[in-house]
Amino acid sequence: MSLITAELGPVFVAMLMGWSALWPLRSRLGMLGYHLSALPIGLLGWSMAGAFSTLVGRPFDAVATLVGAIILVAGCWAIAFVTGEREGDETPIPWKSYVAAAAVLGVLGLVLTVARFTVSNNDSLMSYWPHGVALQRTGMFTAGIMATRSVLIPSVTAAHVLFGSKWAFTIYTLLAANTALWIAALLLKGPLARTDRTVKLIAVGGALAFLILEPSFIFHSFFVHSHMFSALYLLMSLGCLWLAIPPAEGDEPQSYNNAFLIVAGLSAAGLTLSRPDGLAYVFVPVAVAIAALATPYLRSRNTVAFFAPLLFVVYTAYASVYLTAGVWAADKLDGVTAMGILGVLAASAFAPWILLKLDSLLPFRFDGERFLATLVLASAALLGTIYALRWEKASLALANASRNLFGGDGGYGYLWYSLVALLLISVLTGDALRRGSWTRSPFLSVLLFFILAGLVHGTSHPGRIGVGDSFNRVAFHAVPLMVFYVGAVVARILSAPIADAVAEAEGSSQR
Amino acid sequence: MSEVRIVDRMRSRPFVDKLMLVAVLIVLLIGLGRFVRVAAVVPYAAYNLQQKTTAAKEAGRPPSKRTVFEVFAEHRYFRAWWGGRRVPYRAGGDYLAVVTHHSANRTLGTVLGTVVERELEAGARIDEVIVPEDVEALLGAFPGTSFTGADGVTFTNPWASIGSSAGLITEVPVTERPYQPLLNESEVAELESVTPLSSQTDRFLLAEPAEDGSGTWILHSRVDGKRRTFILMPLEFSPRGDEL
Repeated sequence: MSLITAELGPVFVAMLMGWSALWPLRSRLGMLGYHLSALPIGLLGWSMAGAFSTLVGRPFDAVATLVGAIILVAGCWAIAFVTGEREGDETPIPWKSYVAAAAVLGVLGLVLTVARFTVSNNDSLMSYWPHGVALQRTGMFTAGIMATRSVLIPSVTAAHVLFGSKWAFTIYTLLAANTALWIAALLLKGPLARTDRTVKLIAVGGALAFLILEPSFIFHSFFVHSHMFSALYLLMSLGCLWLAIPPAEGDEPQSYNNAFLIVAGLSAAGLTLSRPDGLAYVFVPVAVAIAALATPYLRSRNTVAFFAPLLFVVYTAYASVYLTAGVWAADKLDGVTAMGILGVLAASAFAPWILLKLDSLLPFRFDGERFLATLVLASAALLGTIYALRWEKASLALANASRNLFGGDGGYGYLWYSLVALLLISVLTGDALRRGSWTRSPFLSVLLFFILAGLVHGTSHPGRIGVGDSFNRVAFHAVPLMVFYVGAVVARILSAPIADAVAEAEGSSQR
Repeated sequence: MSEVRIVDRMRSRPFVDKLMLVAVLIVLLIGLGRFVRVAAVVPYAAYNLQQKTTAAKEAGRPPSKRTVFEVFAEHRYFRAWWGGRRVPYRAGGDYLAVVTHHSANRTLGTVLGTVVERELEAGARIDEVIVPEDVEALLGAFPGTSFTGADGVTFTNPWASIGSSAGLITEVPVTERPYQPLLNESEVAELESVTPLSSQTDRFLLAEPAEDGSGTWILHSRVDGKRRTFILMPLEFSPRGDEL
């Protein structure tokens, strides 16, 4: 098969799986949300194919692909049915938009495939590619895959091998483009939704320019590794949560969009399965979901909309291994640890009700927004305590991380100085912690992500100095999120005069 | 809402809001400036390469095989901006990867195994694979040796030796050849003259060794009719000693 078929075949099949899985949600997602979600969500279908081939012990082939697609689509449709998110009487998605989305994907994919630019390291060569090749042949998620790479990227690689690929690379750049578009879409549908065109252009243009001119973003666009997958799924899961449960205005009841909650849950599953430590980072969107869901207007189907797709995809993948290989032993992520974390993940689904109960019982308010801030503070205190107890190792990890992010050894140049400075100024502007805003949750999410990353990386090994350090690369996952946050702050500042003018005009007309 | 009106309204914004906007603007301008400076190297690299090619032709020497991209990737502006990360290369062809010395022990078996598997799938008959004779020389030390990094951390090299990695190329007869772990430039030239690899293969040498800079390896293949031979050659001669 040709290089183009090998690179673009799995991408278009994933796109079809995504479109099909999200079909009942399309009107509620809107044209932009539906088409942008299709590829990343469709990629989960390859994991389902791997889970099926593992369970039945057959190669990762066309049959496994078909069954994987059916599992993903049936699961998503069932959740859409249970949560009441079926096609309604809202504006349908024009068929021309499908052609346009496919054309954009096809042209961009074609250019990237013909250009053939890629970057690899030991993990790409020694792990991702051989795991993908082996998975395609044997159809088995092995203990080695679960402990070192998790299932998503080996599955996507196996899909490429199935299509005749010798080296899967185009998908990474396509996901980078998807990440940039998601930032634009989130800004436009969120904090910029009620502002004028000039402000939209300035805020979105600035955010995208910053991102696509950033060397680390360009690098990870070509790097055959887990980082672009993780960054995209982290942004998507959080962004869809914010779109699903936007800040309530005044005394209006909290609105819920279950379609975006379902996509948020699926994206959180993608984040979980992109890397073994995705099982830790998934608690960032889970915490944000708990905080956002815990309002007096909460209904059980809202919680199901987020947690059911997350648990359905993650549990299917992990269950296939537990049922065939048993509880695996490993230095990095063993089967017992994974099982414990999966249990906590399922238990988290009850947290919104527990929070609401606590809010009614405690002598002080403890609603969702307060919960998230409290959780960040408690996690920071936990991190501080653990670091203090293991100071010898932790101090080395901190020193290495500091040299990598700020000292130039990690290759970031001025990036982290800029982002930290902007975050600090946003604390002064009040955006960081302003309640009922588009900016509070993203700010706390960034903090929570780094606390979790500090727990994962600072306590296990001290890392090393250089661009290849694991924490140094993982820090990139938060970059698109931070770009969105800064864009949202700028959007608030630039929109404020317009909001004032609208309020003024409404006031004068009432007089 | 006109832009003028927005600007008018901005005058009444709090100081910290203005500070935020100015900070964002500065960050954007720095990023844009750095990018423009790096982008400007591309025409410079093309011009530079063209001049050298012309000069070589006039002097009757063979033209340089370096590409504009290679010249660009080695420029100090690009290297400062790129931050020491690995440089993208074009996938496919005979080239598989540039592997650092630090990573060679982890990767060599897989590299060879992948190439062999790929060629077998393509219908090739593989008669021999050249592998280094001296495992210890290849790895820098024998697996299991303890190292102390520049940061004071002592770690043990746990990776498989060639012997066990060669499991990936089972069934393939292996011919061992004498191996020179660290070559100087004249030795590389001598090796090239004995086995004229560069005239028969695509070669992609990518700027500085990535990450720790302790050595760069390159995989060559030699084409002889329908027969192809692979060799992994060391190209970096002065390890910095940061890692190994």
